[in-house]
Amino acid sequence: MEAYGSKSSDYGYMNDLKSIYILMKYQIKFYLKTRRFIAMLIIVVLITALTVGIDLYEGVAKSTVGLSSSAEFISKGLSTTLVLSISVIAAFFGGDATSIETGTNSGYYIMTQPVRKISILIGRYLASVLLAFGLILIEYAGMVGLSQNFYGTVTSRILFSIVEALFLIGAFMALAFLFSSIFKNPLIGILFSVIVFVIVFSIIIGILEITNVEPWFVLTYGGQVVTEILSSTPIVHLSTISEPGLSVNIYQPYIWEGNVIMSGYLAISLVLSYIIFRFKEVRPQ
Amino acid sequence: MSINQTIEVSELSKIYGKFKAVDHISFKIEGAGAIAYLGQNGAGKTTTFKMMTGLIKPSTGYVKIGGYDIIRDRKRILSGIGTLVETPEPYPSLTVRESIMLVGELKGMKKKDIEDHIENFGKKVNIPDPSMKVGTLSRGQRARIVFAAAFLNDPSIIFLDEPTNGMDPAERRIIRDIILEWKKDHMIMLSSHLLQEVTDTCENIIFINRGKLTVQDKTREIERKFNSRSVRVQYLDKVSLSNMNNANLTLVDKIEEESTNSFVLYFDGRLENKAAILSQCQKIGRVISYADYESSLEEAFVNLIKENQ
Repeated sequence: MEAYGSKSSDYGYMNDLKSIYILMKYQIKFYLKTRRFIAMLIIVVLITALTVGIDLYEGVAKSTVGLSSSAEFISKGLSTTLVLSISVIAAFFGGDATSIETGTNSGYYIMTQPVRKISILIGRYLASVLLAFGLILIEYAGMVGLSQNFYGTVTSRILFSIVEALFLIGAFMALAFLFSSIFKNPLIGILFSVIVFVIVFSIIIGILEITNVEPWFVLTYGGQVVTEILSSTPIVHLSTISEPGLSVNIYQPYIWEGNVIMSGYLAISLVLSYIIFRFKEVRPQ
Repeated sequence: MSINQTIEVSELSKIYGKFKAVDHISFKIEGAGAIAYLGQNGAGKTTTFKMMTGLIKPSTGYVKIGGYDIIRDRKRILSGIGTLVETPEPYPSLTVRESIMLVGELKGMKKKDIEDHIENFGKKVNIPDPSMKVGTLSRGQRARIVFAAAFLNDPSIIFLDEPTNGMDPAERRIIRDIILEWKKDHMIMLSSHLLQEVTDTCENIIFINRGKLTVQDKTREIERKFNSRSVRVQYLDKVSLSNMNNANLTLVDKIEEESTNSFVLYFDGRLENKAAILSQCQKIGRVISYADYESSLEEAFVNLIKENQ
């Protein structure tokens, strides 16, 4: 009898941490070769190139807007695109995270291996968060370059912003994972995530502003702390715009408040995602 | 983790709403060899395989592999066995090498051993170029990758559910030869709708019908049991069908002319009648062969289904 490989008994009982690491490693390899990663990369590079290009050409940041420091400049520069970029990237990386196992034949390949579903979920989650974080760092790199060019320095507060961005990626990704567990079809999971993150959240915030209610339960609201943390001036939690016959309250989350919102989304979504994934059988569409 | 070659299935059922996909199946198998798990489409074969590999939980009963319970010790069992259930698809963006490495690493193998497996076993099953992306491959090529992955880490028990699906005859022959080689010291449980594949490779059969275990026996016994109601008689000299019909073979229910001088005679299966028919046939001409009609397992399969309807 010709034997291939090594005997099963040569190896110990794999621990879950190692399984998570293996799954994360191969998930990153998988994502790096997908069209969606290329598409996300192109979008992020384009956003960064446009921001950098326009700012360099116009010099708007310093001269016209009159931003006084590197921190204000980076905060303003990122505030228009960062949360949107994070939400779209999370939707594309996380929207099919578990449904690719329960809704396609790939589930029969991985779930018959010695690995727990929790390891699959965590390995995939870490891979998605890391890749999304890598993409977002491109936007930061653009702003760092501009800040250095205009101000000759880069605020050290950018590190806090990067940590908050990682936190926000984790929260959006967890929510996308939850949608991927709910929907059987991977495409529907991605589409639903994009719609909720980009359209539904904006509509909810818009409605709440008109009705003068703080949108404390909306993730994109809490995510504003990513750029707010750069600013050295105190946060104006509530400002009111009054027009004849109309008064609109504009809320800005406190840093602690944003962190609580993101933590809540991250923890609840990830736990629910796991519970649904754990009890779902592989049933390809 | 080495797993003893025992599979114990007890009162195993899987119920979806009012439908019993698997209905209180029990069996125990031990030691090396190949066992076929047969049944019509929808009989519950794949559902049983899914429960045996921990993909789904049973509604009742249990599965023990190597003495371990598949629900409680799923990870331990899966690190020591090989599985190919349904039609697994490696991730399309990974390469052939990465797809096999992933499974090998999850099973705790060293990279070098996985590379050796890809080199040796992979060559044997003719896997595609390891640097190719899975998404660019044909169904048969992908099936061979999955087959190679199932044999990683020298598993003591291998579950193969329709392993040759999507493969051409030449590829099927390769798989058959590997099963024949590995069954010498491994336990292989095979589900296949290709009964010739089963006849060629498996010495034992478990037959299920509508979720219930109907027969568990040796392949030859099942063939014999369901083919003993017919005999083939061959003559040295020219004998026509009319000669046979005119010979007043009273114990024969039906005569079929198979070829020149060769006939299949159907009777009630009783051994004394079989002997009496031989005497009658010898009166017609010089008999050179008189034996059970050797049809394929397919006939036994059809008979078993009819018997259980």
